Amino acid sequence: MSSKKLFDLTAKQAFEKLPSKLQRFFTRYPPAPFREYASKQTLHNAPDANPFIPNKHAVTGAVQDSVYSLRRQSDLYKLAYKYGIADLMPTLRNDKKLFTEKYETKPTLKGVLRPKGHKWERTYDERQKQIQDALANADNLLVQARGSKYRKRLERRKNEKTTWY
Amino acid sequence: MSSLRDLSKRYGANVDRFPHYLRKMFEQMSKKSQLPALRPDARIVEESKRFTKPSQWKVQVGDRVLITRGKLSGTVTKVAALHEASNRIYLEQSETRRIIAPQAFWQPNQDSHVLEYPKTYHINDVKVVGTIVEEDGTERDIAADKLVFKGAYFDQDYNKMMPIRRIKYNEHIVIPWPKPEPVEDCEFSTPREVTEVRTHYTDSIVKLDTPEGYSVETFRNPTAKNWSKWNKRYLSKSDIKKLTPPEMPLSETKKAMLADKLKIKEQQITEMSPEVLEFIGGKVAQHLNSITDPNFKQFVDANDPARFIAKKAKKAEEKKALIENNKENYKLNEIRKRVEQKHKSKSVKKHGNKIW
Repeated sequence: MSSKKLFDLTAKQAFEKLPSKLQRFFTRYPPAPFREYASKQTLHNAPDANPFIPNKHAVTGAVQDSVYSLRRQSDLYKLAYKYGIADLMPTLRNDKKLFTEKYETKPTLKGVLRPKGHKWERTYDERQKQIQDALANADNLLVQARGSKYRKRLERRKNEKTTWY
Repeated sequence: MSSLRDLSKRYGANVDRFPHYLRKMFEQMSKKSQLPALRPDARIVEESKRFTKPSQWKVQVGDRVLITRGKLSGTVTKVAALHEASNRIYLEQSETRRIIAPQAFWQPNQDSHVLEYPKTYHINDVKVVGTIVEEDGTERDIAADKLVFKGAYFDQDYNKMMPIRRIKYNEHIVIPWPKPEPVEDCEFSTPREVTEVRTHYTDSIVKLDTPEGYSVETFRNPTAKNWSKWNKRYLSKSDIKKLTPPEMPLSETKKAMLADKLKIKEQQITEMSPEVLEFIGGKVAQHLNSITDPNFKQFVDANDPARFIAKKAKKAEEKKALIENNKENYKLNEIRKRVEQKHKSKSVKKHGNKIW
């Protein structure tokens, strides 16, 4: 890819390059320093009513559909993103995020943090300990079952155990 | 039993519901299961495609027809019957097929299993024969190649409206429908004179003749589970809304709503201020001037609104040119017509009004 400059535009020329859909939107809804937009539901005639959020009618209290549907606001956002002015848009409905922002703000799932695992995985350590304990206690159990003769045999074997030295 | 009957309707095999190729298969299966003697010689037509009008049949029982196909082509005979299941006709003198009839179906004086049974004919394989009277009084038979049905009249014999059967391209020649055989009354039928006697006279125009306690509701089933759409016991909110006419002029609430909408519309900004333009344009310029991807430049150029405006203007210009061109052609045609007219009148003066 060449690093040659492809555009050399002034502010007015650049604005005219915007698709008419975006031009129309920003004419109707000027961006943040000129006008503020609520990020939550307001009355429909409030000065900071967000066109992306379904607002309440001031008299009847009925919730109206948003001026821009979810699809249309997403379309607008994606278009604005391509022209580098996505941050000038009001907050989308349901705090919708797109592109990298969407993946960065995603909450990590519980299952990813601490996987549940199979039952044999969850009980493995406990079962191993049980086995070790049982093995350590095996001689005592055998002595209980088979009597003093077996205990004497065990002691004898211990005494007669040959070592290398 | 009724529930069982309904179930059989719902879950039972209904051949009409299957696609045409499966229907054909079932037809063949049912044909195979029948005795060869009872199998029809032509394919059974599905009910929606069966002929119902005389103009579809083109002939009626008793019509004289000329056979134009098969071994008997050229013979004039009469229509014996209409086979409604196959849209075909039986003729009095026709080709036959040999069938082996079981004894249960034997006719009186029959002594053999083998029987000659008449074949059916397609409507297109016969021509209707009519008679025309010449000027000198002699009668001549004609066979209609094509028929056309124009106009209708009430036929006393058929007791219904019948279309007038004419010969195509010679529509002044009418082939009348044959006279059907009269239907004989049985012992249970009411004589015509009796049916035509008037037995009821109204006494008063004020008082109704209907018996007391009568209403349309009495005809309906009062214990019906599902009440019909038109016979609701309870009206829903939307039903009431539909049934009540709108208030004229507009109600106060509606007026307020419209005023509110208008106010919001008026508040909407239609033109961008230069500061906002500078602010947004600056950001866009910063972004676009930094790009180095030629594909992205192509995208930006393709979505440039100036391009669409130019395209639209070009299209409008083309349309305008086309209209102009049409006008010019129209004028030229006018001149040509006038010249032709002039030439024609000259030739008429010279040679007379000849077509060939």
